[in-house]
Amino acid sequence: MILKALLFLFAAFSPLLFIGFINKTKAWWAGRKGASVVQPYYDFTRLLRKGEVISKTTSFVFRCAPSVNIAAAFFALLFIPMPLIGSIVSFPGDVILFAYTLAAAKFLLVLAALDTGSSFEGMGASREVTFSTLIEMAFFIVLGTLALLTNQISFEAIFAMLTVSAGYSLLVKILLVASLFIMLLTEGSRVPVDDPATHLELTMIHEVMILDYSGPDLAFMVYAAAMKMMLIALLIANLCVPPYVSSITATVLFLGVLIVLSVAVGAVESFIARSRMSHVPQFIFLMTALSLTAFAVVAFFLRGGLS
Amino acid sequence: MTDILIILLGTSMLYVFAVSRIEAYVKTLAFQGFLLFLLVIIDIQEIDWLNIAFLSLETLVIKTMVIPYFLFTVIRKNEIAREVEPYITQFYSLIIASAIFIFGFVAAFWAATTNAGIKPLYFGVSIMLIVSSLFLIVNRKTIITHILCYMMLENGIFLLSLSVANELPLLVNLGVLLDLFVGVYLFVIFFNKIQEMYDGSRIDELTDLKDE
Amino acid sequence: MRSVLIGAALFSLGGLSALFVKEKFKSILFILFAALAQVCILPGVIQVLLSGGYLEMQLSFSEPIGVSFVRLDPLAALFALIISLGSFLAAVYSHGYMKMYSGESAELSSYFFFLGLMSSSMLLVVLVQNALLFLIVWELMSLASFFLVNYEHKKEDVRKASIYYLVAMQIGAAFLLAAFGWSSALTGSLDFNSFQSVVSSTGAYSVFIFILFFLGFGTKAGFVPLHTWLPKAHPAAPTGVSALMSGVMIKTGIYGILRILLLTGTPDVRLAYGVLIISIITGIYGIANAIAQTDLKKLLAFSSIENIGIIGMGIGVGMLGLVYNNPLITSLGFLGALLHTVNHFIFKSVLFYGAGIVYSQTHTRNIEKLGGLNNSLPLTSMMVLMSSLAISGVPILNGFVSEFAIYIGIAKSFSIDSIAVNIAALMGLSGLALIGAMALLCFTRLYGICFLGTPRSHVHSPSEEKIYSLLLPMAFLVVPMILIGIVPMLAISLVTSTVGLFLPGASTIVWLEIVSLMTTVSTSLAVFVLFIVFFLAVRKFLLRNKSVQVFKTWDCGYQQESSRVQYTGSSFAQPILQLVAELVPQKIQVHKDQVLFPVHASFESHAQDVSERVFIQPAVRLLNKFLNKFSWIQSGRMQQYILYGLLFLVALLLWIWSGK
Repeated sequence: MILKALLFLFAAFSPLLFIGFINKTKAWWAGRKGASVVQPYYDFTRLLRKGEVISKTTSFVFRCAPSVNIAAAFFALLFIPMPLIGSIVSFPGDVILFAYTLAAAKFLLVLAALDTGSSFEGMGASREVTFSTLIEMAFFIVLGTLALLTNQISFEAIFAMLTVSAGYSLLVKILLVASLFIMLLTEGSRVPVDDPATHLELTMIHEVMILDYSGPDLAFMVYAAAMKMMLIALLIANLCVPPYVSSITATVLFLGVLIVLSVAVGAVESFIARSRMSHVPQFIFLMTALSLTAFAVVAFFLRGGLS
Repeated sequence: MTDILIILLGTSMLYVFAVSRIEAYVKTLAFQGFLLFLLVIIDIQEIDWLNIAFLSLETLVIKTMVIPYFLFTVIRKNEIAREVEPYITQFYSLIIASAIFIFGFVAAFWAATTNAGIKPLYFGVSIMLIVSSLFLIVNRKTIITHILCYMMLENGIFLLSLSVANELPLLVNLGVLLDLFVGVYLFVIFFNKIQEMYDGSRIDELTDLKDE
Repeated sequence: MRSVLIGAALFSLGGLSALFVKEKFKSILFILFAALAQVCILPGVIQVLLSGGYLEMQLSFSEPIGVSFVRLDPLAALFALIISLGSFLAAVYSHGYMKMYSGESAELSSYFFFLGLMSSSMLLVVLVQNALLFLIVWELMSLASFFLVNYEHKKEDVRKASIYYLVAMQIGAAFLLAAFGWSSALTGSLDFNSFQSVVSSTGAYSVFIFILFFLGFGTKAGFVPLHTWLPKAHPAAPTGVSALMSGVMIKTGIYGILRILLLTGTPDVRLAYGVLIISIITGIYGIANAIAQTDLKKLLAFSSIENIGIIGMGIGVGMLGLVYNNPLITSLGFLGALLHTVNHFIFKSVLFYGAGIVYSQTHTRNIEKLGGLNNSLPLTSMMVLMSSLAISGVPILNGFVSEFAIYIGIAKSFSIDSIAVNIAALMGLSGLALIGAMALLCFTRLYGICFLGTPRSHVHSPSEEKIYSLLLPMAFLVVPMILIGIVPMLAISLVTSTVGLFLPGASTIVWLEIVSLMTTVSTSLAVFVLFIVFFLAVRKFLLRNKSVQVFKTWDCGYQQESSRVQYTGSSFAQPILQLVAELVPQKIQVHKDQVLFPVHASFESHAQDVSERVFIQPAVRLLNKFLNKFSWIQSGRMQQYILYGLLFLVALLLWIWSGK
């Protein structure tokens, strides 16, 4: 019981570490030494200590949105299975609640952006909702594939039944991991969808929506964004780590996958330039294509469950 | 006795075909009303006394006296004397009138051969009245003639109701009375308002009201 | 049962009595009658819903209707609930809203008269079980709503919209007439129960008859491509009527489909796929068009089309469950559909009422001109925000619960061992996800552009918001919005018996599973609320002695502040509309001076309804070409028409005589 709580807290506090690894990777590729991997924690606590400047155009929506975002991110973490503790909450259909809780957070974030009456934030909001439309659809295709494969609709139950074997099921796993990686890049506002390092008009999607936030609100927003990335990374890790290995091996593998993912994201960010805005939907459609292929493979070759 | 009265009704219709003076129409209408009154009185044995009183009042007073008097005043006030030239000339319309008359007798013959419980001659002549008044409406051009022929149509319907007098004549009478009322009402309004816009109470110009 | 009928009659009586009183008493009198009607109707309805039984009465009419049953079974009771409540709320709302039209005493009388007639006929529609009587009250409902839509008949576009609506309703009624006529001819009786042999899969023509029924009821409900009247009629009507039409009247179409489904038993599998596919298309088409609209009420009308699509998806899933004999999928599908019917009534009514308040205060429905209404209309803004969250399916509010049920139904059908079902299920899953995400886009746009930010142009600024008759119906509906969202079992207990009608045998095990699922969901949502409260408290704690400055929005150093730099509705929607350009074509007009240094330039974009261009207009053109050949029949000359009558009379007589 205490173990569960501790592990949950560890998972809850590690998103910033994830971000730290990404930044370190990028710095390393660029030939710099870079900030330490725990730098995001220092930034976070610094922000928490500050006061705020709030725009006079805004209303209560602006003030509530960061709290709701971070609450939603933590709430969604309850459903993701992790080694040694499984998921804190699990019931059939929690995948739907997971997706819709994150959508609720996004709703308020977009409203907060429109609340400021700034054209920058409107632009970010508009692009954000457009891309999230495509991502939602593709994510549900991923969920459908998993549901067809395992006959379950709860994260814990799905991943408990996913065993690794060669042949089609491996192909399906690879396709799903690739799709979720694209989702990771999109939801985390990474290159090629968005560039988190700049605030230029060309790259305004997520960063710009939180332009007017400061102090604890900004801290909450940054944390929530990091947590969202972490959630998707955990899903990928769950896909990669089979359920039948022992808990210790599983934990080690999990952490390994997470580190590999953060390095991969950093590498992608370093190698690829941000796409033209009109090419970004094509990139996101790639996720749809991959997940549809995975579904097709499952539907036609893997009927009747996992081989 | 009733047969003669009914034939007289039919002949009055033929008379309407022949004339073109509007006062003649009104006189015919009064004449028809009087004939209907006589018919009602003679057919006394099948309806109760309240009905008799009502029907007598209606036919004698309203159809024979009140409405023709009212129409006369309107005609004199608006100085309408003659009907304008109809679509089909008088000659051919008389032929058609005869055809309708024969048609009515065919109807009477049919009614006699079937056991429909209707008095055959009443039925036949009422059909003849209805069809010829409709034909007159189609043929003539002035509004006042239409109203008058409409009332003759009501007379035909009244006669039809007498032919099935075992059933509920009161209901038919109420309807007839209402139609009379509506007809006169409309006529008055029509005449007062339309007169301002259209001259000579011609009906051809009303086609302007048609859609697109 | 008698009291329910009396309640139905009370609405009409209220409308009738409003004709005879002075102008300022009309609405109050009508509200009184409507309240009395609630007292008569609601107890019976709630009793039927909770107990699962039914109330019945037999009425005798002369031929050709003959004997007709009026039955209040759980299906009818659920719809009667929303009809009754919706009519009452519309009456209350009209009291405040129609003040805008004070002075037009004759028109107001007709408004309340037809409102009463419409409410009564809607109630009768769900009660009668005789085909001919059903068609009569159906037509009555359409005609009453036609006159209501045509309220502002002095404006030309309102007239055009109402005529279009009337024609569309007649087309739907024609389909219904064909379907009822065919069924009645096959069975020889007019009673609904006798149609069971015709529409169940043993009947020879059951598929065709079902399709005819679906087309007829689908026109009223607003399935694509029969939906084109909705975006025209809803904005043209006064707001109380729009809310009633959108929240209640189109659901009578759903009622009809469900009633036929009840008689069908196990439907044909092709019909299940058909309903599912059409619903998915309807949902996506509806929301895509809603995103493109700048007229507030037209946007809400298209959103209603989208929600009808979602309800249809629930019905389709339920039908699939019936085909494959899976009681869990059946119950989830129908539960989702019925719950969404109720939910949509709740949040769409609030949205329309809010739009009416906005219109009555600012005198514009164009969202591009609005903005910043949060400051001047705080209560309305809060309630519209909650409805926008609800309609996008955000957890804690009621929209999520019904969509959740449909999702689980679809996901469970992955366990059916048929590849066609699996593909259909995937289409359903991704379709519903797409619809949900686009709804999020649409309603962040709606709320964000209208209520947040700063006013985008000089509109008449709202003067007084606290007109209670306008706010109370909204507030009344917000309560179940939250309650159903957090404690779904409250609503589910009302819908239980209706869903039970569709399950062939008693299936309590399935029901327990659903109940436990919903309870778990509700507990999780309570945890979510706790998290939110916790973080809000943390934020307050962190800021307790820090400075919180209020300053202007960060503007990158730009000195010329203007509210016009804000994103407008069309800009917000532009990226997604570019992606679905085939679905929502835009007509763009750009004018620029053709000189070296142009001074004047203008840009206009209008969203067009594709299905009108593709389906309706070619059909109308063809029909016109054909019918123009017969235009000589209508010459405008009265005598010609009387001649027709005369000829008909003579021909009739000759025909009778030749027959004897």
